[in-house]
Amino acid sequence: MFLAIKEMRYAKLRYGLIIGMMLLIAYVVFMLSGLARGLAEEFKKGVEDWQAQEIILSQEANKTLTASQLTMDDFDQITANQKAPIGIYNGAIKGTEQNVTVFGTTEKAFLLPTLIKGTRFKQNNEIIIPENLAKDGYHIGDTIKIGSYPEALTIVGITSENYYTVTPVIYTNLETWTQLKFGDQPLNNQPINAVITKENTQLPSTNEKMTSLTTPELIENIPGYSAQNLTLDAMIYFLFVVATAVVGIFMYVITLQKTAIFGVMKAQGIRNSFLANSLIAQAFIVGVIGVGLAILLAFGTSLVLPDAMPFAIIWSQWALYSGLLISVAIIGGLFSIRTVTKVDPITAIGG
Amino acid sequence: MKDILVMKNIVKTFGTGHTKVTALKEINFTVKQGEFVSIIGPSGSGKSTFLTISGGLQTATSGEILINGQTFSTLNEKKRADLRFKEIGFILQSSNLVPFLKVHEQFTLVKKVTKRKEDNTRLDSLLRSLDIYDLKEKYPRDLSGGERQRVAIARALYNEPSLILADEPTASLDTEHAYDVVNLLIKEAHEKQKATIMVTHDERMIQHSDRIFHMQDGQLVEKPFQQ
Repeated sequence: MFLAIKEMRYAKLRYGLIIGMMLLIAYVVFMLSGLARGLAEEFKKGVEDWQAQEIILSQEANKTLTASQLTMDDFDQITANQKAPIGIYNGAIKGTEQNVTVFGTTEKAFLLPTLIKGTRFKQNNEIIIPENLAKDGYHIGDTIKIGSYPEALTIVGITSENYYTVTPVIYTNLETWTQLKFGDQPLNNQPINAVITKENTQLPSTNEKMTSLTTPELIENIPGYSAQNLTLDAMIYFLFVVATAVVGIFMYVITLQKTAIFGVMKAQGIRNSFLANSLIAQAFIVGVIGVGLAILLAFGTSLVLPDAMPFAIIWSQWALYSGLLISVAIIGGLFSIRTVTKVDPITAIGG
Repeated sequence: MKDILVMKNIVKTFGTGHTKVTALKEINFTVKQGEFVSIIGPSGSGKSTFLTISGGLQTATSGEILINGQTFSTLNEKKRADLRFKEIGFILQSSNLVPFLKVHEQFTLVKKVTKRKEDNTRLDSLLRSLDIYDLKEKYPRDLSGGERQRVAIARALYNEPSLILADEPTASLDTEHAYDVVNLLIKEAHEKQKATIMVTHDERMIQHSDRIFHMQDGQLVEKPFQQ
């Protein structure tokens, strides 16, 4: 550590550059992570907040909520300590370009998000909206129109931030939802998309059209969700490789420039292990300082990002990435150890 | 006086068959405690080979070397490194200082390697006696050639080695400073009772040595004392 620190102090510019490279790479890692998680969060929050034990869809729905078709008859056949029907409709608020997800359920459904203002919907054409939508200038008592449904919907309650597939989540009752989705079409049986349950769920053995999923399974199958995460994660993983290479190459070049002095030190009887430790210590310091600064920078950036760029900091993930980045910096340093051990102390004498 | 460096029938050859070169031929050589020995010879005479073998940087093809009673020839590189560190102080041509350490840190490095805890009283008096105490906070690049060699001498002495090996220590100095450095080496050898071997090609630098050897075609020939 002694040699490592003293040398870095002496060659500030040189090590400043490596730390700068490390900082930039780590910054991109943290930004990508933040943006990926932010986006993922907006994809799945609405569903995750249900805290469901099981989500029951129709068999042929291919695990996709919107593709699932059930009825209230199916709902009645399911037993569970707590259960709620869910209907999903994607529409846009009239007069704006705001897309929304409308979930229809019962007034007493366990999955309804906690209100921070107002009351739950009690009658038809009453809705509750999330804070992220209210921010656009909607208040309790205001009315909006969604899609081609002619009647005005009254906002009666506001929940905390809520998203599903990156659109704000509105809750209403099943009747209103049915009107939104199907209009005045005659329906024999109240349609729903899914049944959400909690504790001791049992599907009827006689009804084979239903299948049940866990919340993570459902989220994984939201169209686009896995592909998007995989892409962003792949970029992050690739950056670990880049970090290894950059630190490795820089350290190697610096090591080559120092072979003469390594020769002298080895002639004086300083062991290989002492010199190798100093090299590793340098890579470690480069990693720690670079990652530390990158976290500060990424955190600072997250404070000024526009709302259109959702950013979520998962500290446990950042800690993991920090550890990985510091490890790959050290791995980069390891490449040069062979060069150090290969320096023959004999080069120090004569010439 | 104790024998510090003993060489018995040292032979060093490079290559095999037609390309075989004998750098050292049957060298028998002893340096005692407190003795300042100069070895002079043209380049290519085997001086450097001699020095690297006495310093344990390479092994002889045959023969035996003892440093302060310990056999060098049979040790592996790690053990030889430790023995070098303990028993030998090197003073090299240009400088044996680490460029990115301040003068006083050159000595901290030694302490770090040995994991030795000690205050600076011994170091300070060593630096004062070599007249370089005021240079403590300077980097080697900010020192003159003469100052650098003084620091190098201090660095070599700091470990209290039994043997000092100086490889052309005056090569990068003007005559005046070169004399200063050689005289300092002789003084330290006598005062601190260090066996010192100086290898040089400069005839002017050897006149105050206790013994003088000529290296010629791989053989050491002692010069009769002239004074």
